[in-house]
Amino acid sequence: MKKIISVILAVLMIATISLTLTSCKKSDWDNIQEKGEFVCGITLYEPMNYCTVEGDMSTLTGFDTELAKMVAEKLGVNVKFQKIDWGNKYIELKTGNIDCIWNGFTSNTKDSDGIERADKVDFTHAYLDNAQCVVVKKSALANYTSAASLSGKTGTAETGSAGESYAKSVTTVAVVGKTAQMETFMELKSGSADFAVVDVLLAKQLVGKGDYSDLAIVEAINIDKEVYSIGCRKNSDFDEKINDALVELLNEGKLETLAEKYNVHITDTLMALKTAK
Amino acid sequence: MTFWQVTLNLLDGFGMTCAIFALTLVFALPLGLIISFGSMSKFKPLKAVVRVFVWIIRGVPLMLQLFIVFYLPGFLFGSPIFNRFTATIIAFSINYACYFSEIYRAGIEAIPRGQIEAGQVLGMTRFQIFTRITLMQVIKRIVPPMGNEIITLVKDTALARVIVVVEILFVAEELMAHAIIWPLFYTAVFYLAFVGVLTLLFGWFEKKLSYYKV
Repeated sequence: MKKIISVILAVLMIATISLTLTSCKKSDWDNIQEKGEFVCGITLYEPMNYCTVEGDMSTLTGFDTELAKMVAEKLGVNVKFQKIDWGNKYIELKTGNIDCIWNGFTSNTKDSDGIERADKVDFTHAYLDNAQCVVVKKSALANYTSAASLSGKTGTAETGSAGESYAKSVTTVAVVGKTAQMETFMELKSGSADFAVVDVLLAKQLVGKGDYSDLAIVEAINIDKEVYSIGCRKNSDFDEKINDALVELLNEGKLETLAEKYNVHITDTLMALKTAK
Repeated sequence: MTFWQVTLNLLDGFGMTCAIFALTLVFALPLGLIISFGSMSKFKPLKAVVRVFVWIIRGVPLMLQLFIVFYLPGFLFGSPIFNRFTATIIAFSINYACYFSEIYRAGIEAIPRGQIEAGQVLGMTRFQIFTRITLMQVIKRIVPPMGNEIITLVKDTALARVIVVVEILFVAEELMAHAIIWPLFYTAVFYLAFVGVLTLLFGWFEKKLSYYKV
Protein backbone atom coordinates (compact mmCIF):
# COMPACT_ATOMS: atom_id res chain seq x y z
CA MET A 1 0.00 0.00 0.00
CA LYS A 2 2.71 2.43 1.01
CA LYS A 3 4.63 1.61 -2.16
CA ILE A 4 1.62 2.41 -4.31
CA ILE A 5 1.14 5.74 -2.55
CA SER A 6 4.78 6.70 -3.00
CA VAL A 7 4.64 5.80 -6.69
CA ILE A 8 1.52 7.92 -7.15
CA LEU A 9 3.15 10.82 -5.31
CA ALA A 10 6.29 10.57 -7.43
CA VAL A 11 4.24 10.62 -10.64
CA LEU A 12 2.28 13.63 -9.41
CA MET A 13 5.49 15.46 -8.55
CA ILE A 14 7.02 14.87 -11.96
CA ALA A 15 3.77 15.97 -13.59
CA THR A 16 3.65 19.26 -11.69
CA ILE A 17 7.32 20.00 -12.32
CA SER A 18 7.04 19.38 -16.05
CA LEU A 19 3.84 21.43 -16.16
CA THR A 20 5.49 24.40 -14.51
CA LEU A 21 8.54 24.09 -16.75
CA THR A 22 6.47 24.17 -19.91
CA SER A 23 4.46 27.13 -18.65
CA CYS A 24 7.72 29.02 -18.14
CA LYS A 25 8.55 28.88 -21.83
CA LYS A 26 5.99 31.53 -22.75
CA SER A 27 7.55 34.88 -23.49
CA ASP A 28 7.11 37.87 -21.21
CA TRP A 29 5.04 39.74 -23.75
CA ASP A 30 2.69 36.75 -24.17
CA ASN A 31 2.20 36.62 -20.42
CA ILE A 32 1.51 40.35 -20.22
CA GLN A 33 -1.04 40.16 -23.02
CA GLU A 34 -2.70 37.23 -21.31
CA LYS A 35 -2.87 39.10 -17.99
CA GLY A 36 -3.93 42.27 -19.78
CA GLU A 37 -1.52 44.29 -17.67
CA PHE A 38 2.12 44.78 -16.77
CA VAL A 39 3.44 45.64 -13.34
CA CYS A 40 5.97 48.44 -12.82
CA GLY A 41 8.20 48.21 -9.76
CA ILE A 42 8.51 51.68 -8.23
CA THR A 43 9.56 53.55 -5.14
CA LEU A 44 7.85 56.84 -4.39
CA TYR A 45 9.93 59.90 -5.16
CA GLU A 46 9.43 63.20 -6.87
CA PRO A 47 9.41 63.89 -9.75
CA MET A 48 9.34 60.34 -11.15
CA ASN A 49 6.59 58.57 -9.19
CA TYR A 50 4.80 60.24 -6.30
CA CYS A 51 1.34 60.69 -4.78
CA THR A 52 -0.24 64.12 -4.72
CA VAL A 53 -2.29 63.04 -1.70
CA GLU A 54 0.07 61.25 0.65
CA GLY A 55 -0.75 57.57 1.15
CA ASP A 56 -3.36 57.52 -1.60
CA MET A 57 -1.99 55.42 -4.47
CA SER A 58 -4.88 56.48 -6.71
CA THR A 59 -3.31 59.94 -6.85
CA LEU A 60 0.01 58.54 -8.12
CA THR A 61 1.62 60.75 -10.72
CA GLY A 62 5.04 61.84 -11.95
CA PHE A 63 7.09 61.68 -15.13
CA ASP A 64 7.58 57.91 -15.07
CA THR A 65 3.99 57.27 -13.98
CA GLU A 66 2.53 59.28 -16.84
CA LEU A 67 5.00 57.83 -19.34
CA ALA A 68 4.21 54.26 -18.28
CA LYS A 69 0.50 54.96 -18.70
CA MET A 70 1.12 56.35 -22.20
CA VAL A 71 3.18 53.32 -23.16
CA ALA A 72 0.53 50.99 -21.77
CA GLU A 73 -2.09 52.74 -23.87
CA LYS A 74 0.06 52.29 -26.98
CA LEU A 75 0.51 48.60 -26.18
CA GLY A 76 -3.19 48.10 -25.48
CA VAL A 77 -2.73 46.75 -21.97
CA ASN A 78 -3.20 48.14 -18.47
CA VAL A 79 -0.40 49.19 -16.17
CA LYS A 80 -0.17 48.51 -12.45
CA PHE A 81 2.29 50.20 -10.09
CA GLN A 82 3.79 48.15 -7.29
CA LYS A 83 5.90 49.68 -4.54
CA ILE A 84 9.11 47.72 -4.03
CA ASP A 85 12.14 47.79 -1.78
CA TRP A 86 14.83 49.19 -4.11
CA GLY A 87 17.42 46.80 -2.65
CA ASN A 88 15.26 43.83 -3.73
CA LYS A 89 14.47 45.07 -7.24
CA TYR A 90 16.24 42.22 -9.07
CA ILE A 91 14.54 39.58 -6.91
CA GLU A 92 11.15 41.21 -7.50
CA LEU A 93 11.80 41.18 -11.25
CA LYS A 94 13.19 37.67 -11.41
CA THR A 95 10.37 36.16 -9.35
CA GLY A 96 7.75 37.76 -11.56
CA ASN A 97 6.25 40.03 -8.94
CA ILE A 98 6.94 42.92 -11.29
CA ASP A 99 7.46 42.98 -15.07
CA CYS A 100 9.78 45.96 -15.25
CA ILE A 101 11.74 48.38 -13.08
CA TRP A 102 10.49 51.81 -14.12
CA ASN A 103 11.56 54.31 -11.53
CA GLY A 104 14.42 56.53 -12.60
CA PHE A 105 16.55 53.43 -13.07
CA THR A 106 20.13 54.37 -13.99
CA SER A 107 21.27 52.01 -16.74
CA ASN A 108 24.84 53.03 -17.58
CA THR A 109 26.38 52.07 -14.28
CA LYS A 110 27.71 49.15 -12.29
CA ASP A 111 26.13 47.90 -9.10
CA SER A 112 28.24 47.91 -5.96
CA ASP A 113 29.07 44.24 -6.67
CA GLY A 114 31.00 45.44 -9.74
CA ILE A 115 28.61 43.90 -12.26
CA GLU A 116 27.17 46.07 -15.02
CA ARG A 117 23.45 46.57 -14.57
CA ALA A 118 23.02 45.84 -18.26
CA ASP A 119 24.21 42.29 -17.55
CA LYS A 120 21.46 41.77 -14.99
CA VAL A 121 18.44 43.13 -16.83
CA ASP A 122 17.38 43.93 -20.39
CA PHE A 123 17.30 47.70 -20.75
CA THR A 124 15.15 49.76 -23.08
CA HIS A 125 16.51 52.86 -24.80
CA ALA A 126 17.91 55.40 -22.37
CA TYR A 127 15.14 57.99 -22.16
CA LEU A 128 16.16 60.54 -19.56
CA ASP A 129 19.30 62.33 -18.39
CA ASN A 130 20.20 62.35 -14.72
CA ALA A 131 23.15 62.77 -12.45
CA GLN A 132 24.05 61.88 -8.88
CA CYS A 133 25.03 64.61 -6.50
CA VAL A 134 26.70 64.83 -3.12
CA VAL A 135 24.73 66.23 -0.18
CA VAL A 136 26.36 67.33 3.09
CA LYS A 137 25.49 69.37 6.16
CA LYS A 138 25.38 73.05 5.36
CA SER A 139 27.74 73.84 8.23
CA ALA A 140 30.43 71.57 6.73
CA LEU A 141 29.91 72.63 3.12
CA ALA A 142 33.17 74.59 2.96
CA ASN A 143 35.18 71.41 3.66
CA TYR A 144 34.04 69.79 0.44
CA THR A 145 35.65 71.22 -2.63
CA SER A 146 36.37 68.20 -4.80
CA ALA A 147 35.78 64.46 -5.02
CA ALA A 148 39.14 63.97 -3.29
CA SER A 149 37.82 65.71 -0.15
CA LEU A 150 35.32 62.87 0.29
CA SER A 151 38.08 60.32 0.81
CA GLY A 152 38.23 59.25 4.45
CA LYS A 153 34.68 60.40 5.11
CA THR A 154 31.74 58.14 5.87
CA GLY A 155 29.31 58.02 2.98
CA THR A 156 25.72 56.91 2.75
CA ALA A 157 23.47 56.01 -0.16
CA GLU A 158 20.52 53.85 -1.04
CA THR A 159 21.47 50.18 -1.15
CA GLY A 160 21.81 48.99 -4.72
CA SER A 161 21.73 52.53 -6.14
CA ALA A 162 24.13 54.18 -8.54
CA GLY A 163 24.95 56.58 -5.72
CA GLU A 164 26.18 53.72 -3.56
CA SER A 165 28.61 52.60 -6.26
CA TYR A 166 29.94 56.14 -6.53
CA ALA A 167 30.26 56.57 -2.76
CA LYS A 168 32.23 53.33 -2.53
CA SER A 169 34.58 54.48 -5.27
CA VAL A 170 35.51 57.79 -3.63
CA THR A 171 35.87 56.94 0.03
CA THR A 172 38.05 54.43 1.79
CA VAL A 173 35.79 54.28 4.85
CA ALA A 174 32.45 52.56 5.24
CA VAL A 175 29.44 53.40 3.12
CA VAL A 176 26.15 53.06 4.95
CA GLY A 177 23.51 51.50 2.72
CA LYS A 178 19.92 52.54 3.37
CA THR A 179 16.66 51.13 2.00
CA ALA A 180 15.46 54.47 0.64
CA GLN A 181 17.21 57.58 -0.66
CA MET A 182 15.38 59.74 1.86
CA GLU A 183 16.81 57.80 4.77
CA THR A 184 20.32 58.86 3.82
CA PHE A 185 19.42 62.40 4.88
CA MET A 186 18.66 61.14 8.38
CA GLU A 187 22.15 59.63 8.55
CA LEU A 188 23.54 63.05 7.63
CA LYS A 189 21.46 64.91 10.16
CA SER A 190 22.29 62.53 12.98
CA GLY A 191 25.99 62.82 12.13
CA SER A 192 26.44 59.08 11.50
CA ALA A 193 27.49 59.82 7.93
CA ASP A 194 29.38 62.78 6.45
CA PHE A 195 28.02 62.80 2.93
CA ALA A 196 25.15 61.27 0.99
CA VAL A 197 25.00 60.47 -2.71
CA VAL A 198 21.52 60.73 -4.22
CA ASP A 199 19.81 61.56 -7.53
CA VAL A 200 20.10 65.22 -8.37
CA LEU A 201 16.38 65.28 -9.30
CA LEU A 202 15.47 64.16 -5.79
CA ALA A 203 18.03 66.37 -4.04
CA LYS A 204 16.78 69.51 -5.77
CA GLN A 205 13.27 68.65 -4.62
CA LEU A 206 14.12 68.21 -0.94
CA VAL A 207 17.45 69.66 0.15
CA GLY A 208 17.09 72.99 1.94
CA LYS A 209 13.42 72.42 2.73
CA GLY A 210 11.61 71.52 5.96
CA ASP A 211 13.65 69.22 8.18
CA TYR A 212 16.36 69.19 5.52
CA SER A 213 17.01 72.94 5.65
CA ASP A 214 20.42 72.35 7.26
CA LEU A 215 21.61 70.27 4.29
CA ALA A 216 23.20 71.45 1.06
CA ILE A 217 24.18 70.09 -2.34
CA VAL A 218 27.92 70.21 -3.03
CA GLU A 219 27.97 72.03 -6.37
CA ALA A 220 31.74 71.75 -6.59
CA ILE A 221 31.61 67.99 -7.09
CA ASN A 222 30.41 66.85 -10.48
CA ILE A 223 29.60 63.22 -11.03
CA ASP A 224 29.47 61.75 -14.52
CA LYS A 225 26.20 62.05 -16.32
CA GLU A 226 23.83 59.15 -16.08
CA VAL A 227 20.86 57.99 -18.06
CA TYR A 228 17.64 56.35 -17.04
CA SER A 229 16.22 53.30 -18.78
CA ILE A 230 13.44 50.86 -18.06
CA GLY A 231 14.68 47.48 -16.88
CA CYS A 232 12.99 44.26 -18.03
CA ARG A 233 13.76 40.63 -17.24
CA LYS A 234 16.84 39.20 -18.90
CA ASN A 235 16.05 37.75 -22.35
CA SER A 236 12.62 39.34 -22.25
CA ASP A 237 10.86 40.58 -25.37
CA PHE A 238 8.99 43.24 -23.41
CA ASP A 239 11.78 45.84 -23.67
CA GLU A 240 11.44 45.90 -27.48
CA LYS A 241 7.71 46.56 -27.13
CA ILE A 242 8.40 49.49 -24.79
CA ASN A 243 11.06 50.79 -27.18
CA ASP A 244 8.62 50.82 -30.09
CA ALA A 245 6.06 52.65 -27.96
CA LEU A 246 8.66 55.20 -26.78
CA VAL A 247 9.70 56.04 -30.34
CA GLU A 248 6.06 56.35 -31.36
CA LEU A 249 5.39 58.75 -28.47
CA LEU A 250 8.51 60.68 -29.44
CA ASN A 251 7.35 61.06 -33.02
CA GLU A 252 3.97 62.27 -31.83
CA GLY A 253 5.71 64.91 -29.71
CA LYS A 254 4.05 63.64 -26.52
CA LEU A 255 7.31 62.67 -24.87
CA GLU A 256 8.77 66.16 -25.19
CA THR A 257 5.61 67.77 -23.83
CA LEU A 258 5.78 65.49 -20.82
CA ALA A 259 9.47 66.23 -20.23
CA GLU A 260 8.73 69.96 -20.30
CA LYS A 261 5.95 69.51 -17.75
CA TYR A 262 8.29 67.89 -15.25
CA ASN A 263 11.34 69.96 -16.19
CA VAL A 264 13.48 66.93 -17.09
CA HIS A 265 15.71 66.32 -20.09
CA ILE A 266 15.26 63.57 -22.70
CA THR A 267 18.52 61.90 -23.76
CA ASP A 268 20.15 62.90 -27.04
CA THR A 269 20.36 59.24 -28.05
CA LEU A 270 16.59 58.89 -27.87
CA MET A 271 16.01 62.22 -29.63
CA ALA A 272 18.20 60.93 -32.48
CA LEU A 273 15.65 58.17 -33.11
CA LYS A 274 13.00 60.71 -33.94
CA THR A 275 12.06 60.34 -37.58
CA ALA A 276 11.35 63.70 -39.13
CA LYS A 277 7.96 63.90 -40.72
CA MET B 1 1.99 68.47 6.27
CA THR B 2 0.07 69.13 9.41
CA PHE B 3 0.15 66.97 12.52
CA TRP B 4 -3.39 65.87 11.79
CA GLN B 5 -2.59 64.77 8.22
CA VAL B 6 0.42 62.82 9.40
CA THR B 7 -1.66 61.13 12.09
CA LEU B 8 -4.29 60.12 9.55
CA ASN B 9 -1.63 58.68 7.23
CA LEU B 10 0.01 56.78 10.06
CA LEU B 11 -3.38 55.46 11.16
CA ASP B 12 -3.77 54.00 7.67
CA GLY B 13 -0.53 52.12 8.13
CA PHE B 14 -1.48 51.23 11.67
CA GLY B 15 -4.62 49.55 10.29
CA MET B 16 -2.34 47.23 8.33
CA THR B 17 -0.26 46.59 11.47
CA CYS B 18 -3.43 45.61 13.34
CA ALA B 19 -4.59 43.39 10.46
CA ILE B 20 -1.30 41.45 10.47
CA PHE B 21 -1.50 41.17 14.27
CA ALA B 22 -5.11 39.97 14.39
CA LEU B 23 -4.93 37.50 11.50
CA THR B 24 -1.68 36.02 12.80
CA LEU B 25 -3.33 35.34 16.15
CA VAL B 26 -6.43 33.85 14.50
CA PHE B 27 -4.31 31.29 12.64
CA ALA B 28 -1.39 30.81 15.01
CA LEU B 29 -3.34 30.15 18.24
CA PRO B 30 -5.11 26.96 17.02
CA LEU B 31 -2.20 25.90 14.79
CA GLY B 32 0.10 26.11 17.80
CA LEU B 33 -2.13 23.67 19.70
CA ILE B 34 -1.98 21.15 16.84
CA ILE B 35 1.81 21.47 16.68
CA SER B 36 2.08 21.01 20.45
CA PHE B 37 0.06 17.77 20.20
CA GLY B 38 2.45 16.63 17.49
CA SER B 39 5.51 17.36 19.58
CA MET B 40 4.02 15.40 22.51
CA SER B 41 2.81 12.49 20.35
CA LYS B 42 3.58 8.93 21.42
CA PHE B 43 4.11 8.07 17.74
CA LYS B 44 7.89 8.62 17.54
CA PRO B 45 8.30 9.52 13.82
CA LEU B 46 5.58 12.19 14.03
CA LYS B 47 7.13 13.60 17.17
CA ALA B 48 10.55 13.74 15.50
CA VAL B 49 9.23 15.45 12.37
CA VAL B 50 7.31 18.06 14.38
CA ARG B 51 10.26 18.79 16.65
CA VAL B 52 12.59 19.25 13.67
CA PHE B 53 10.01 21.57 12.09
CA VAL B 54 9.81 23.65 15.27
CA TRP B 55 13.60 23.75 15.41
CA ILE B 56 13.80 25.07 11.84
CA ILE B 57 11.09 27.69 12.27
CA ARG B 58 12.48 28.92 15.58
CA GLY B 59 16.01 28.75 14.27
CA VAL B 60 15.58 30.90 11.16
CA PRO B 61 14.99 34.67 11.37
CA LEU B 62 11.39 35.67 10.71
CA MET B 63 12.64 38.19 8.17
CA LEU B 64 14.22 35.40 6.15
CA GLN B 65 11.03 33.35 6.41
CA LEU B 66 9.14 36.27 4.90
CA PHE B 67 11.58 36.32 1.98
CA ILE B 68 11.27 32.56 1.55
CA VAL B 69 7.47 32.48 1.55
CA PHE B 70 7.13 35.47 -0.74
CA TYR B 71 10.03 35.13 -3.19
CA LEU B 72 10.84 31.40 -3.36
CA PRO B 73 7.74 30.35 -5.37
CA GLY B 74 8.63 32.99 -7.94
CA PHE B 75 12.19 31.71 -8.19
CA LEU B 76 11.06 28.12 -8.64
CA PHE B 77 8.08 28.57 -10.93
CA GLY B 78 8.71 31.96 -12.53
CA SER B 79 5.53 33.49 -11.19
CA PRO B 80 4.53 34.43 -7.65
CA ILE B 81 1.90 32.36 -5.80
CA PHE B 82 1.01 34.59 -2.86
CA ASN B 83 0.42 38.30 -2.73
CA ARG B 84 2.46 40.28 -0.21
CA PHE B 85 -0.15 40.33 2.51
CA THR B 86 -0.98 36.62 2.25
CA ALA B 87 2.71 35.73 2.33
CA THR B 88 3.11 37.83 5.47
CA ILE B 89 0.20 36.13 7.24
CA ILE B 90 1.49 32.66 6.29
CA ALA B 91 5.02 33.35 7.50
CA PHE B 92 3.88 35.04 10.72
CA SER B 93 1.27 32.38 11.53
CA ILE B 94 3.68 29.46 11.13
CA ASN B 95 6.43 31.24 13.04
CA TYR B 96 4.23 32.24 15.95
CA ALA B 97 2.42 28.87 16.03
CA CYS B 98 5.78 27.21 16.73
CA TYR B 99 6.53 29.53 19.64
CA PHE B 100 2.99 29.12 20.96
CA SER B 101 3.23 25.31 20.68
CA GLU B 102 6.14 25.22 23.12
CA ILE B 103 4.21 27.39 25.59
CA TYR B 104 1.18 25.10 25.25
CA ARG B 105 3.41 22.06 25.75
CA ALA B 106 4.86 23.56 28.93
CA GLY B 107 1.34 24.22 30.18
CA ILE B 108 0.00 20.79 29.33
CA GLU B 109 2.96 18.87 30.72
CA ALA B 110 2.75 20.81 33.97
CA ILE B 111 -0.61 19.23 34.82
CA PRO B 112 0.05 16.52 37.46
CA ARG B 113 -0.20 12.99 36.10
CA GLY B 114 -2.50 12.06 39.02
CA GLN B 115 -5.31 14.24 37.69
CA ILE B 116 -5.28 12.43 34.37
CA GLU B 117 -5.23 9.06 36.10
CA ALA B 118 -8.14 10.20 38.25
CA GLY B 119 -10.04 11.00 35.09
CA GLN B 120 -9.27 7.59 33.67
CA VAL B 121 -10.49 5.90 36.87
CA LEU B 122 -13.76 7.81 36.52
CA GLY B 123 -14.11 6.33 33.02
CA MET B 124 -13.57 9.57 31.07
CA THR B 125 -12.30 9.40 27.51
CA ARG B 126 -9.00 11.06 26.56
CA PHE B 127 -10.90 13.88 24.87
CA GLN B 128 -13.02 14.46 27.98
CA ILE B 129 -9.95 14.45 30.22
CA PHE B 130 -8.27 17.04 27.99
CA THR B 131 -11.24 19.40 27.65
CA ARG B 132 -12.63 19.08 31.19
CA ILE B 133 -9.55 18.67 33.34
CA THR B 134 -6.41 19.82 31.52
CA LEU B 135 -7.40 22.67 29.17
CA MET B 136 -8.85 25.16 31.65
CA GLN B 137 -5.85 24.82 33.95
CA VAL B 138 -3.49 25.18 31.00
CA ILE B 139 -5.11 28.42 29.86
CA LYS B 140 -4.66 29.87 33.32
CA ARG B 141 -1.00 28.95 33.52
CA ILE B 142 0.05 30.13 30.10
CA VAL B 143 -1.41 33.64 30.23
CA PRO B 144 1.84 35.38 31.29
CA PRO B 145 4.15 33.71 28.72
CA MET B 146 1.52 34.08 25.99
CA GLY B 147 1.20 37.76 26.89
CA ASN B 148 4.93 38.04 26.33
CA GLU B 149 4.80 36.48 22.87
CA ILE B 150 1.73 38.42 21.80
CA ILE B 151 3.34 41.72 22.78
CA THR B 152 6.42 40.72 20.79
CA LEU B 153 4.13 40.05 17.83
CA VAL B 154 2.87 43.65 17.89
CA LYS B 155 6.38 44.89 17.25
CA ASP B 156 7.40 42.08 14.88
CA THR B 157 4.70 43.23 12.44
CA ALA B 158 7.19 45.92 11.44
CA LEU B 159 9.23 43.18 9.71
CA ALA B 160 6.56 42.88 7.01
CA ARG B 161 7.98 46.01 5.42
CA VAL B 162 10.88 43.99 3.97
CA ILE B 163 8.45 42.58 1.39
CA VAL B 164 6.79 45.99 1.07
CA VAL B 165 3.65 45.49 3.10
CA VAL B 166 2.67 49.07 3.84
CA GLU B 167 2.47 49.05 7.62
CA ILE B 168 2.98 52.01 9.94
CA LEU B 169 6.80 52.18 9.81
CA PHE B 170 6.76 51.97 6.03
CA VAL B 171 4.29 54.87 5.90
CA ALA B 172 6.48 56.91 8.26
CA GLU B 173 9.51 56.36 6.03
CA GLU B 174 7.56 57.41 2.96
CA LEU B 175 6.56 60.61 4.72
CA MET B 176 10.22 61.56 4.67
CA ALA B 177 9.65 62.53 1.04
CA HIS B 178 7.88 65.58 2.45
CA ALA B 179 11.04 66.72 4.22
CA ILE B 180 9.76 65.63 7.64
CA ILE B 181 11.47 63.11 9.88
CA TRP B 182 9.51 63.29 13.12
CA PRO B 183 6.68 60.92 12.02
CA LEU B 184 9.18 58.08 12.21
CA PHE B 185 9.59 58.64 15.95
CA TYR B 186 5.92 59.48 16.39
CA THR B 187 5.03 55.86 15.40
CA ALA B 188 6.29 54.80 18.84
CA VAL B 189 3.14 56.36 20.33
CA PHE B 190 0.95 53.98 18.32
CA TYR B 191 2.93 50.91 19.34
CA LEU B 192 2.99 52.00 22.99
CA ALA B 193 -0.75 52.59 23.03
CA PHE B 194 -1.42 49.20 21.45
CA VAL B 195 0.85 47.34 23.86
CA GLY B 196 -0.58 49.35 26.75
CA VAL B 197 -4.09 48.17 25.93
CA LEU B 198 -2.86 44.57 25.61
CA THR B 199 -1.06 44.76 28.94
CA LEU B 200 -4.23 45.95 30.68
CA LEU B 201 -6.21 43.23 28.93
CA PHE B 202 -3.85 40.48 30.06
CA GLY B 203 -3.83 41.85 33.61
CA TRP B 204 -7.61 41.78 33.70
CA PHE B 205 -7.72 38.29 32.19
CA GLU B 206 -5.22 36.94 34.71
CA LYS B 207 -7.25 38.40 37.56
CA LYS B 208 -10.41 36.82 36.18
CA LEU B 209 -8.73 33.44 36.10
CA SER B 210 -7.28 33.56 39.63
CA TYR B 211 -10.49 32.06 41.03
CA TYR B 212 -8.72 30.20 43.86
CA LYS B 213 -7.52 33.39 45.50
CA VAL B 214 -9.93 35.29 47.73
